[in-house]
Amino acid sequence: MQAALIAWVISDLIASEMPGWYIAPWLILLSGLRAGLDWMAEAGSQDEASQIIADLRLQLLEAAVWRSPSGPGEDAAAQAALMGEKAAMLRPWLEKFLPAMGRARIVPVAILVLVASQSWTAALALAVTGPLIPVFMMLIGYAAQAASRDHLVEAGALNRLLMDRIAALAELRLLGAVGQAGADLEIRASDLRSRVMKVLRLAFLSSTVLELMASLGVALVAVQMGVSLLGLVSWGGWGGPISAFGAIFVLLIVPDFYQPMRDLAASWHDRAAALAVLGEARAALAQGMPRILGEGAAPAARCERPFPLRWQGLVISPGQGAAIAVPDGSLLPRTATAVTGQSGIGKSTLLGTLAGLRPALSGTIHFGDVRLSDATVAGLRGATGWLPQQPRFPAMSLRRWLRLAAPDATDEALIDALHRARAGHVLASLPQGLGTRLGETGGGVSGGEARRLMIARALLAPPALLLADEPTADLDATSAQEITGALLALRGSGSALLIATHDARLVGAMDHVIALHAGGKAA
Amino acid sequence: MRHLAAVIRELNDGNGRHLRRAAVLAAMVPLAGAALLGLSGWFITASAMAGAAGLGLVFDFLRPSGGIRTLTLIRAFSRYGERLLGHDATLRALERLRLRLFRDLSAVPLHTLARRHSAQMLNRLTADVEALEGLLIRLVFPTFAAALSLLIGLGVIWIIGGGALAGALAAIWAMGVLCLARLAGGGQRADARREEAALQAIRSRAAGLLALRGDLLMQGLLAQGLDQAKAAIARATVARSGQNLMGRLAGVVIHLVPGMAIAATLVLGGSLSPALLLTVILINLALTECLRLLWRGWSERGRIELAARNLARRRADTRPAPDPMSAPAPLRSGASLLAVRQLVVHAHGSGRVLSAPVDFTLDPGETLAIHAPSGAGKSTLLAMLARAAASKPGEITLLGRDLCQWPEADLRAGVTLVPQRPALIAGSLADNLRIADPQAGDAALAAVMQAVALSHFLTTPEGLGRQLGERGAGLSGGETRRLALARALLRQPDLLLVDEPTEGLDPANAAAVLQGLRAYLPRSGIILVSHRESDLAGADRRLQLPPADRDSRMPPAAPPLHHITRRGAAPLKKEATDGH
Repeated sequence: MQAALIAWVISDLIASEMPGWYIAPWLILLSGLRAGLDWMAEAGSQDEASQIIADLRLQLLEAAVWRSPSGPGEDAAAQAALMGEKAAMLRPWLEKFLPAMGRARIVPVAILVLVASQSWTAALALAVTGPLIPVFMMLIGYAAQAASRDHLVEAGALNRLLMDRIAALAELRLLGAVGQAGADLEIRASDLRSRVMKVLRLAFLSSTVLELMASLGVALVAVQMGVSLLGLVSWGGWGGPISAFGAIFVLLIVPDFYQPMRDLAASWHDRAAALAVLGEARAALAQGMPRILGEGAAPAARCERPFPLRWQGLVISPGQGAAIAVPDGSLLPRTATAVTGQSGIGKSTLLGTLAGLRPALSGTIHFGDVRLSDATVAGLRGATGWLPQQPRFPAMSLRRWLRLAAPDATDEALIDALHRARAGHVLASLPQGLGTRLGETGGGVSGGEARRLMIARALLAPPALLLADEPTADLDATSAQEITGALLALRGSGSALLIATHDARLVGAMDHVIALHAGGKAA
Repeated sequence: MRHLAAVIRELNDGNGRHLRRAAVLAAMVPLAGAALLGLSGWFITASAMAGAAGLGLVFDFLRPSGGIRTLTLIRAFSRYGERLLGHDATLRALERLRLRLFRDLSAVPLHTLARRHSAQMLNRLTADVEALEGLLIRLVFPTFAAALSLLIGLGVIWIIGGGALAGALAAIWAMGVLCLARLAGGGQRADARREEAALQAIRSRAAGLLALRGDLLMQGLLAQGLDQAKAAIARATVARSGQNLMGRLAGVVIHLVPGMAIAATLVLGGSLSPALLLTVILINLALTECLRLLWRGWSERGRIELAARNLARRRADTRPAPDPMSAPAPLRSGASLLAVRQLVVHAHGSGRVLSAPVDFTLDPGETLAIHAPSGAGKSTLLAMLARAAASKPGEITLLGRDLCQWPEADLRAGVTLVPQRPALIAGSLADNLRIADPQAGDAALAAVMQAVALSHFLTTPEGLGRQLGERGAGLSGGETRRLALARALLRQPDLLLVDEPTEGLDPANAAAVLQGLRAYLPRSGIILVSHRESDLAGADRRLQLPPADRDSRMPPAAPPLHHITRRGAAPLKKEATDGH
């Protein structure tokens, strides 16, 4: 539109008919109109992109958080990165590439039609150069891909190298090898750079070809127009030489013929990155892993769990396709039961299954008359205490964290519970006592001490059932004994304990033993 | 801005020629584009006028059309050259930045290093370096290119159309640039920072939540954690919509400014010939590209500036460890290898007192086993002995010289610590071993592998060429620890400190490793920390680390009990010198 107006003005000027200022307000109005249209289109695609990305993040989060925990093999950091910066990589694709793709389908054709209305030769030039561009770009793109394969260039390789070395920095220091490691890093980095540049040289060719074709197209049209206007050739327009208006108009709109393709080229690598992220997200969402029971249900507050807890015909799956039959059994208040069996047999899996963190392959679990299921698990969970091998703490003070279990407890009650859990000295050594923020890793509290803190928390409001995973692993004899004592104190206050362990002394202190064997029939 | 300037200086440092060339080429691209359009417009209009006047046959159309073709080529090739040189310069600059970061980090006191190792810190560090990649390619070059193109474009207009027209157009373009600068100002940058912070929060909250979801659910904390993660996701969306709004406003400016400029040209350029008028108009149209270039870089300035600031801050707190002595005290001959007096073990982070004061000595060829309850500070004690954790002057004396006074290089040559969770690097087994001694021959490597009962690797087809993944991925925990031990042996230290060397090994291998260490280093002092009875039994002496007074948070004032027990006859050893 703008182009037509300018062309009209200039051709009029050539015929010197009308003053230019007359047209100026229209021109500004048209710019405004175009800006408005652009605004609406952009707002639409930006909002949509934000929505899609936020939805994807939430979906990934919900899908991952309710998947049954499956031990140390999971890579939580990778999934978190997928939700964070990787999901953000979809944005340029959604905001720029996809709209450019849409434009590339329509705009060049429309412009071709407009140009053809003025000059069939110019249209012919565009029709020939236009389709060549994607073809060339594709050819060069494949060549660049092949080159990056040949030169073993991967995105982020230098970052990974640097992270690898920084992670080992303390060791390098202790071995007096920092200088040498730095020199080695330098050599590797510069080698990597020269390989990357080899690939880039090819990759940039594709955008150069695009620029060249676009410019040549413009130049070709311009020269053609000029020659035609000079009257040197008598063809080009319809029925004779092209008009001045036509020539200027064509010249002005020809760059727009190439613009969508340039936009596409500029965000071509966004597409590759986005498709990779989408693939990863799809894989993450499609995983058919076992899920936590009662997904999303709010856990009940503390409640009395009806007893006895008993299970029948229970078959659990500790890992890929494995199936372990658990001997039928039951738990009564004020009893302590050990689960034994070799590593990896499924001791932790049994605890997780009883807690409703993973479904059983078959069999039933009953708390009194209530059967453990998606519908009942939230209520039953309220009375289950959980002692993981490596307890972590939320970022809050020890006092607040302990009071989550017993909101009305006084400081005296908290300190008393800590002493009963043999954690008195842990409290004594914390810089701000009960007010100390433990932080995620326990803020300088060792593994054994952290477990004692967990037991103290359980003692404040004794759960009907406490599930403990290897509470004495990696501990010296004295600490292990203290933990055992703390656990038995918990049994004394009415809880049923189920403890996965291979510590013979701890097993000896228990009332019953459940032994898991691989030989159990698979369901 | 200050941080940006500092980073630009740093990137420019030693790389200036590359950068200047790339910048000049970057400016050629929009210039050639503007010239191309301008010349074409003039050519067509002039042709039309010549044609209309019947002068077609005498009009020289070869030169302008040749010029058009030349400009086309210049534009394409300068674009190629700019991108290539710009990326090359950026890659070089960032490579140096990374190396400098590595060197800076390697100079900080050892005990503060552990904090920097978290995967999240490393991720943030590399993300910041990566964000700086845009600094040159999208911010500095385009700003320079746009400014130069605008100046030259307006200069040409001045020549063609005179001062009044050029002045008016300059005012309009300057207004456009100022508007963009305003839009890219504080508000936009604050949004960029907020978005970045929200992304970090998504990542760290989601990672924490997912890693602990079972435990959190059982503690009733999962819902709270989930809400926090969702809140971070919502914050990211809000911060982005603020930036989107600015982007759209910038789009309006980018559309309106050339429109106004062309309108002004029509109003003020009445005296120009149509050909020149069209030339001016087309130059204006081409200059639109400059605004686009400017905005693309400026809209990323927030993120880039944040990265520059983070890196500057990180630089600031990588104060190098003071290398203590220009003239260290002389070594006293005849002094025992290691003497420890009234050493109190403190946790590095909290400053918690972990042990009562402890005294012991160690002679060459002697093995001391330290045991204590978990969390009593055994590992910290080893770190203090290796000066990887701070101790007070007078507490530790190595070969008669205070540990605090040892020059770093000499200390590392004499003392080697193998931590409980040693780090390996990506590369071959041999690469990992040669960290300790780059000159070590294959025979030496084979000997240390044998000493730590890893000789089965030597007989595989790949041998020591076997490649490990990042951080030594591909080895079991026990193998990792033994490879780190082998690496330490290559240093042939006078004092070897090992933390839980046999954890995760079966008894036969554990015994073989301990014997291998001693056989390889017959004259060295070895201190090992373990709570495994068989390890303790193999040592010449054992020391129970005395626990801190449990009833007081303060370090006890009274001299503590000592728990050194002497085992068996060791005729060559001196009497126990614990002083009590």
